[in-house]
Amino acid sequence: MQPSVSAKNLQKTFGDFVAVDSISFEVEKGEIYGFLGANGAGKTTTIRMLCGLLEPTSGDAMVAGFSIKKDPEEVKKRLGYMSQKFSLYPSLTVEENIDFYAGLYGKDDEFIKQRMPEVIKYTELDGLEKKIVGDMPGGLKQRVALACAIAHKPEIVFLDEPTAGVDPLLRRRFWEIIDMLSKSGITVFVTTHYMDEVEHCHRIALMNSGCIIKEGTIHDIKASVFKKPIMEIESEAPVEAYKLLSLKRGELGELSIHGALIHLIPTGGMEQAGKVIAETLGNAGIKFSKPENVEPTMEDVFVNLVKGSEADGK
Amino acid sequence: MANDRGTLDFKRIIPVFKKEFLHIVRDARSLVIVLIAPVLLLVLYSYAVTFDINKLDFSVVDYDRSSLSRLIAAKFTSSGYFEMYKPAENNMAKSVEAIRVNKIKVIVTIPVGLEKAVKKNLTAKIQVIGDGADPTTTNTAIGYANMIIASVSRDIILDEVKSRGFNTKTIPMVETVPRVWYNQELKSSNFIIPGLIAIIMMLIAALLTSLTVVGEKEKGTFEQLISTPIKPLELMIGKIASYIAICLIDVAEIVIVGILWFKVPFQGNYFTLVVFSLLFLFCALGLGLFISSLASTQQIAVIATAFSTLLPSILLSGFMFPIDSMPWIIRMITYVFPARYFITALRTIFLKADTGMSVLWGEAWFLFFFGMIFLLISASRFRKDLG
Repeated sequence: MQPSVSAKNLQKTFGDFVAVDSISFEVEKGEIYGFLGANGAGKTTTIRMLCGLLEPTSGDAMVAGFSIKKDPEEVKKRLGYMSQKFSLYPSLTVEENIDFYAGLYGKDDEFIKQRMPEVIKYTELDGLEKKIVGDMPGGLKQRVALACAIAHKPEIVFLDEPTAGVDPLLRRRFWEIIDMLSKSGITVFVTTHYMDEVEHCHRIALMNSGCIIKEGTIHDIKASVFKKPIMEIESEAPVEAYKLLSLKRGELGELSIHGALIHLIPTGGMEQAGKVIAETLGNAGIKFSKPENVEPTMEDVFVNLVKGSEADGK
Repeated sequence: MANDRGTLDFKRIIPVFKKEFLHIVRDARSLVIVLIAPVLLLVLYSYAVTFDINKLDFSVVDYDRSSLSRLIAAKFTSSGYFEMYKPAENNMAKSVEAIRVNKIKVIVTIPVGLEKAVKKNLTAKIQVIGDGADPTTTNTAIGYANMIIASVSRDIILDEVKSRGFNTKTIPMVETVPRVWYNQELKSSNFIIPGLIAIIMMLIAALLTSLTVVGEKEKGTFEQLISTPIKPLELMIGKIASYIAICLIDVAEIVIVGILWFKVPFQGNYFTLVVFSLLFLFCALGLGLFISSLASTQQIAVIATAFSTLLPSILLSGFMFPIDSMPWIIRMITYVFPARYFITALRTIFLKADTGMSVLWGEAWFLFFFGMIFLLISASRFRKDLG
């Protein structure tokens, strides 16, 4: 079966600025594929190219079987797109917005009449059909936007930062909906800068400065980046502890701070590191828990990879 | 990128039509612009813009103080065209000052010896001084003054002839018998109101569409829109169609106000009116759409629309100044402004009975032609990518 998306050496430059630097990847049908990266990493530019909104400077991609360069309009017929801003018409109701977008895809009244309750149910907008969108809170607007993007039953949906600015509880529910979409056979291509969200993706690509620096399943990426488990130290004075330990970076390894927790990616042996930590923090009189081995978070992975790629760049 | 392949799909035009319609109807501000502004403008301007002279302030400086001079002064004030400005009456210095400070437009000076001269069968002269800083009013005012004095003069002649024993019925004379067709009373409101309808609709229609495309860009819905398979031309047709529907209500509104409130006679037929309204709106809305496709912000769109509709519709449309008197190059320019055709059509439809499409084909074609050009350019300028 041919992949839903297959990009080859996709590149986009704006003047001298290389927004997307020759990236290649494939997305299988029904997969949730996540693009993870900081703002300005090139995620939105990539998604716009894949939706036929931006012509690539070089390279090409096949989306739903059509070239984004030669047949952008054919591509558009087969996808649903949710842009970063929720592009809804505020003076229209939920139903009218959905109706409008489905209509633009050439769907007739009968199709829409049948599809409407499905979409409403899917996006959990029951009872809100007649509400004016402009009066709704962000979390709901986001679901209306999703409803608009899937109303015409696209093969693929492209969601550009769909959860930006939405509160965590609603974000979780949103991902449940995305999961359902994928189970029904729709390919979901999603970008985010929330590290924790990628756990919902089947495969992810980590983007930095226009390049994909790592691609694969989350498990594989973690395993390939961290051969050894990482150490987690909990401290009452994490900032001070972090400062002190940073002085011994050479002996210890890469450090990062996550709230009250400090993560260490040890360069040497774990026992040796444990000793150094105990000594350093003990001497300073800072209370801390015994270092534990933990599974690396995506944030660890991302920080580590970005630092690695930046070091390579220099 | 190829955007326009394939045929237009009606299925995609309808949702655009519905969306734009709902958008206008739900938005209180645009609803005011659409439904209330035209009537307000029509009422306001039709009272302001008039060529008729009515109770124009003037003064008489009567040096003669005779029964004849008093008769002449009385004829002026009883004509209804002139009203005596009391503070300057019979005072030359004050009258001169009054004309200088725009209190009055005309001074009528009656010299000493007027009555005596007439009695001696000599020609007497009355001076009429007009304010040349306002030629339009002054010209008309002097015209009326001439008329009044000529009628006094005629009465004097007839009296004299009678006193010499002639039968006044057998005096040889040539008289004009004016018959003004289509606007018997020469009421200027009868042709100003049809003109104003065109000017107001030109502004409102172009303004409405000038905000739509650039508005989608500013609000961010543009990006979503171009990610769908809608064709630019489908989008433009949908937008124009819904605004035509809304603006037709407008036209109906102000035509009714014109007929019922301002008593402009409606002699033509309604079918022709509807056809021309459709053609004109198509053209005016197309112009707005065209501006919208060029403008980078809504603000620029509004300014550009005001510039390209208001002044040309007033000055280059034949609304106030006859196009035939313009130099040929300006005359060529007038062809571009849709108001020109609509004004001609409206005046004809309103005032001339039994004139249907047959005499207005030229205007109809021009409106259609320019409308199509605006529509096609707007569609071709609407690129379906962000590059």
